[in-house]
Amino acid sequence: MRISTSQIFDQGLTAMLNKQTELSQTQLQVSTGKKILSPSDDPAASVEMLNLQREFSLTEQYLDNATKAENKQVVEEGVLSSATDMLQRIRELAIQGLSDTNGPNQRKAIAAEMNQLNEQLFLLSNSKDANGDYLFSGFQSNTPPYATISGTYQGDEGQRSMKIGAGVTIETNDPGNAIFEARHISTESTKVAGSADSNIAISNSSTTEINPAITFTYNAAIVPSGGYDVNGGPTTIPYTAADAGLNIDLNTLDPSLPNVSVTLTGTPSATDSFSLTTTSSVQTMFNTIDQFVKALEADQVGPNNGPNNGDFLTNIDASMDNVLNTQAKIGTRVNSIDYQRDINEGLSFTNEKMLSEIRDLDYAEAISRLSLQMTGLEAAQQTFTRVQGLSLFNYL
Amino acid sequence: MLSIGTSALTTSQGALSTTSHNIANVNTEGYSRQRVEQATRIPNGAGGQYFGSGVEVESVKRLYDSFLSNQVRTFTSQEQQLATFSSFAKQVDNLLGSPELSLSSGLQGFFDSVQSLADDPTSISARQAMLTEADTLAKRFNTLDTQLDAYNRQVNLNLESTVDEVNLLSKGIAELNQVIIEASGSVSGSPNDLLDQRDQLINQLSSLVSVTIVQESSGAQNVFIGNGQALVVGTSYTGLSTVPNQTDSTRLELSYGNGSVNISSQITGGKLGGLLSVRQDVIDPARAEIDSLAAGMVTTINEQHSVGITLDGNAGGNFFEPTGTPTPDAGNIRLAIIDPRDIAVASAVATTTTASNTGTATLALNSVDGSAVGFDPLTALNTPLTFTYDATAKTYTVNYAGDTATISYDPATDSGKTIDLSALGAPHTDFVGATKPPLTITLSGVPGNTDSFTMTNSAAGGFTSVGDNRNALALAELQVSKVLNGGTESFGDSYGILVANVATRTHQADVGQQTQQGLLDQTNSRYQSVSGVNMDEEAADLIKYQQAYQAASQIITVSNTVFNALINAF
Repeated sequence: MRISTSQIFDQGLTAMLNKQTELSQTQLQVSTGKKILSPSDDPAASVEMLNLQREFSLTEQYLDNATKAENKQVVEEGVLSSATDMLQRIRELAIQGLSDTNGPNQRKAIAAEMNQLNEQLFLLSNSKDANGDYLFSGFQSNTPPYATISGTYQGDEGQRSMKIGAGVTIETNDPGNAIFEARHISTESTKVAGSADSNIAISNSSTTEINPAITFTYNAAIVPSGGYDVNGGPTTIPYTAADAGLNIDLNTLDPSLPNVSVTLTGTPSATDSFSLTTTSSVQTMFNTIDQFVKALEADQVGPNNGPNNGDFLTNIDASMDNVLNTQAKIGTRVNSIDYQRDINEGLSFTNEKMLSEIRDLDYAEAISRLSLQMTGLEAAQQTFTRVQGLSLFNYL
Repeated sequence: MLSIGTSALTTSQGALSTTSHNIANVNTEGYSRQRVEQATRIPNGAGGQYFGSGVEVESVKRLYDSFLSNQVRTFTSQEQQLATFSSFAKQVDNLLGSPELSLSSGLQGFFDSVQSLADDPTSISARQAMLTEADTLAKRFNTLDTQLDAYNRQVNLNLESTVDEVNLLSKGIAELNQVIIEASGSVSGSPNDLLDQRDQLINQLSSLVSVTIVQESSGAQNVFIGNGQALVVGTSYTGLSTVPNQTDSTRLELSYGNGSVNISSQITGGKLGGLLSVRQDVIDPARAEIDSLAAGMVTTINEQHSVGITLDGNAGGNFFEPTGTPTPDAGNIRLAIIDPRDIAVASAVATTTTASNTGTATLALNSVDGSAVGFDPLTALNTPLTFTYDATAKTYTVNYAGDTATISYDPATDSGKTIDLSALGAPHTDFVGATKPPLTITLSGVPGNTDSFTMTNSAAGGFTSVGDNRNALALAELQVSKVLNGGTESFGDSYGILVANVATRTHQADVGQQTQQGLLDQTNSRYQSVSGVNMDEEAADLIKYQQAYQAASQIITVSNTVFNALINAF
């Protein structure tokens, strides 16, 4: 084929320019460390990269959230474990206070310490986090959960959640009423009707709840000379004024009745009726403790002084259970967070690896390509000058 | 004999001069090499024999292949179209892919800040951070829009200057037609250099727009573009002009002559074709996609934000502007709020478990559907919505102002069940307008008989739930929800698709351009092999014709010697 002189020139030039373009592309890749310089270099990989990057930063945010969520759990757990310690000490003091070996003065001293602990416990319920938000008032972060020791819950049952994984949320707070309020029982004997002369009092500190109520109704027909029908009969307690101080264990009287002893005193009259029952309600542990402290000070913690008798131990146990339950929940959440964090860290690692495979340059390959292209360019330059030097005119 | 010698001298001289002309024009763009076609002169008849009477120049031939020339033009048009397309598409491609401007990282930053705010709902600094990120995101939209608009203006400017060039070339071709007609009429030979000049102009024109050439017998060539719009007919030409688009005056269209008829859609090939197609296939779709992404984001985020409650207990309202008129797009999107306290992080719905409940059941609000008409976070649920369990029938009875509906709930199998209240038969009366409650709840645990729950407005009687982060969580959830394009794409997906579309088109144009470049180079070398000047060949010709000239001179000398011999005989 005929070849024109300008064509030889153009071809040589184009070859050099192409090689230079390739060289500069490789050079840019090496200097940025990136395989893909603009999306059109590899459209599919670029979109994959966008998705991976999104996935990666989302996972990083989840990891961030997990750390914050765990911090919050740790703060709450710290408060609650202090509360458990205090409740345990209060329980020990209560056992001492209830013991008959202690006189009024010792009981006053015990009451003073217990009151001190109760105030600290109350302050714990009003703990704040680093932002100055109350920990235990649900969504009402600016409102203290309890204004006074005898106050009622001022927060709500809101629980904040944080996202720690795709579709995985974790609660980061517990409302105070679920922690500091517990079932509160009081077993008492009350006179329903009759004269003020007679009385039936509880004489042992039983932890047995009495529900339904046990009724005692005077019945003159009971041999030999009158007594009380238990629950309307047929179980009876024969009793006259002469038997004052009679102590009876109801369970031995009738095995179907609970293990409670009662002391009968005074002169019974025809209309007398008594009811022995356990009432149950929900109240704050501060209130429960406060009431017991006051009873201790007044030295009124006998078996018949419910709830400030053995009931108090039941009640303080219920409160402690509540706190421990919450601690257990926190423990479970921390486990979930750790578990989720492991998953997220794995994901994050995989994402980064895949991202790196798509985005990052293989330096070894790029450098060898660079030197190959440089050789190519040099060859093109040399052939250009050589070929351009060839002309018949040189020989004319 | 003298006359033969003279004819040989003249012819060799002509050949030498043509060779010199070739050498002189070796670097002239568009030059076709010329060759002297020699022929014997008419022989003289004498004594019954014909004696040769020498040589003459039959013609000066231009070595030219009109088929190859047409192919070069076709490939030039196609290559130029793709090159122009690719150069603009690359700009858009780089714009969308750049980490500094990419919406992808803007969206990520924004939603990260929403999650951080959900972690600390009362923190003013977290609120401020979210506002800043949202502002950055809106500004990224604005910048993208400005940039794409700038590309459109660049296309306009290029169209104008290209049209000027087209007109200039058409005028040149018409003038050359005139000169060529005149030159062809006066002598028998063809005006080779003028033809080359005209071909060169047509080649240049073909790099601007695809052309069709029709040869006239007068020697003139007519030039047509598009669907037969004649740029040049004989010695007259009609120019193109630019006119603003009738529906969008910011974009220029092509029109024929001085008319206002839009012929843009008929123009293909060359720079003009490239400009028009890159605008139609890359810039316009990218703008439309970004605008629709912006509009979708404004609507979705506003809906969710407006059902929430701010730190000061006000209704959330809009987070981004504008809404309605003008419709939101990438160019006008901006923040609607400036005070960090006005971010609606809290939910308007408070759930209360009745204190006397005996079971362990819980009821939690899952979501408030922001797209529901007229859900006013300050007044909704001022009349409470109550849920009461019937352990025998295993149903919750929902009661709203006397209207009731039932939800079946078997604690053994249904714990964690999600219920969309708006899908219930009732209650609905007077809840917002005549609609059902736009709420989704989750029921779990084991309820006791007659256990109940109440949903009320959390702002009723003074808003204090500042620690509530449920609306922020709902906002953060929008990052991964498929809310766009009929619920098939998330914001990130939608942007990814846009980037992919532009990148694919750019990549295609790039590959296409390289292919066309290769075809053009091949055709060009075939064209050059016919019409191009080869210096070695010319050098050889030079020697050949120089020797012929020297030999012809010898004929004159010999004829002189012969003549002298005859004279000296006397």
